[in-house]
Amino acid sequence: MKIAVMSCIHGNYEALDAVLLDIDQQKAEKIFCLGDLVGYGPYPNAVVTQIRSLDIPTCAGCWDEDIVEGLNSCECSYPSLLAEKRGKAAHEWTHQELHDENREFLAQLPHGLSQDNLVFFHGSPQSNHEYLLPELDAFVALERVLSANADVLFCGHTHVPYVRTLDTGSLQVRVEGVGIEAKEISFSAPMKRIINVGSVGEPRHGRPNATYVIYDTDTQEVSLREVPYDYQKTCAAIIEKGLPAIFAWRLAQGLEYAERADDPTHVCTR
Amino acid sequence: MSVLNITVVAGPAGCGKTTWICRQIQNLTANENVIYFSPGTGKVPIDQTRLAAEFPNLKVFQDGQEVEFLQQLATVDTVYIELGFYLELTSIQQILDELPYQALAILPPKLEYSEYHAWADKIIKGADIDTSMVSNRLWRVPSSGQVIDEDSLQEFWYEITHGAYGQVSRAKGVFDVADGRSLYADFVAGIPATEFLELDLPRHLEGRPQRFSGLEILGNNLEESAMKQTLEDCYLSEVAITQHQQQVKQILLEENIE
Repeated sequence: MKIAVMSCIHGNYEALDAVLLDIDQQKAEKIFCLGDLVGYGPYPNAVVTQIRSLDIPTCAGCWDEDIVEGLNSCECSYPSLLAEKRGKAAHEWTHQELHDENREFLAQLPHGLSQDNLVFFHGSPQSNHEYLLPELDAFVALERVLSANADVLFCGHTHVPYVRTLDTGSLQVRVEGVGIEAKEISFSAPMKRIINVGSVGEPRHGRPNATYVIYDTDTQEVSLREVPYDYQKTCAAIIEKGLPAIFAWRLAQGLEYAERADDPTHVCTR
Repeated sequence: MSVLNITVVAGPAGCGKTTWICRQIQNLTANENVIYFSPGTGKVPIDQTRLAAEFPNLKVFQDGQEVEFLQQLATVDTVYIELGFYLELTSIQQILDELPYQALAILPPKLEYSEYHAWADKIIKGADIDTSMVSNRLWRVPSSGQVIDEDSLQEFWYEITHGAYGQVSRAKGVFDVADGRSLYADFVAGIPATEFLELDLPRHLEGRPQRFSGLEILGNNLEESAMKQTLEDCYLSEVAITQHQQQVKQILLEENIE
């Protein structure tokens, strides 16, 4: 069975529309969404309404959580003071714009989803705010998949798609503690995969095109899809609706608006 | 008495006038008295700041110091005057009156015909800049007294030099950052980007810096109010400045103890 997995739409309705059309053409039988429906983009209500109307299984993203609970960022969210100011301006705008029924929808989104040996999280099983970067230490990466009792972990949040295969291997762990005798544990871990599906509405791969993933559950084949759309329409709406104009320029360049992680050793403390 | 050598350096923006002057000063003997004057930079003396940091013994003059500059001519061996591209080449005659000078143009290798060719006594090949782009707007803003978040500056500089605020052909600036250093930023369209250069100035770790910092941008369709706002968004608050300075002082103290 072919499934489509998408994430990080960020109020970009034009991009979502193009991706849904592409999913239809790819003949995917089921769609999963990894959250961040809102934030930065000009159409938060339209995006939430569309996801709701199509009844797409969706887990909560960090933006969805923030817009319900309020900002509570750890240092990994913003790379600079400038980015923080822009991020907070976008948060405030989205907070004002979002309709109550859509906020309620975001509030009831689960942290994660699963289907057979597949699990779906926005950031990681640990946190919606944790970045599973491709360079993340292999042991930590493996721990994240094992902790979810899955073979394949789908995530988003970084906005740059990738597929990482953690090959079958044997592991030795030494456990030490004050007053505890040191103990060595050996175990073997079968092959696991982390599939980051990129971002529909705010790509960071240097081009404005939306990205998502088609996964075949029978063959385990992964197809990273890159979908062009009329991003200029979204850029025009960003300016028209009074969001920071620099967001339009950054969207056109395929750059993040404000949040970014570049430290693969950082573990989110939220 | 030694003969006074006055060299007037001109050329298009970004071709390497200040860089050429730096090289000449480096090659002079230590006991030569050298002065530098660049008229027309107003309250944003970026090149003067860079040169003064690099050559502490160099006497540097800026707008408003013309009388002092002329008075110094009798006491020095070598004079470099840099004419920004925005000045008339004939304006140097008003400054130097009847004093003899060598007119030197730093020009891109592919530029074959220009007003500089008729004016210069000598032509030096400079950076291979694109002269087809006619930039019609020069925007300058001083930021003295402000301390900038360095990561924000990197982001802002990327946006400036990649067209977020209009088509930029040349940008340069001097900025005080949170750890007390003064950074020099330099961009010329078509020339490989360079890292920020740390100026050889003492770290400023006592409140707001009382020295020059500022930004100059040349280009077309510049969104000046957006740039000004973004620059201001990079400024650290009074509290943040104090916190950063205390942290850096503590780190430096610990390093000295070790």
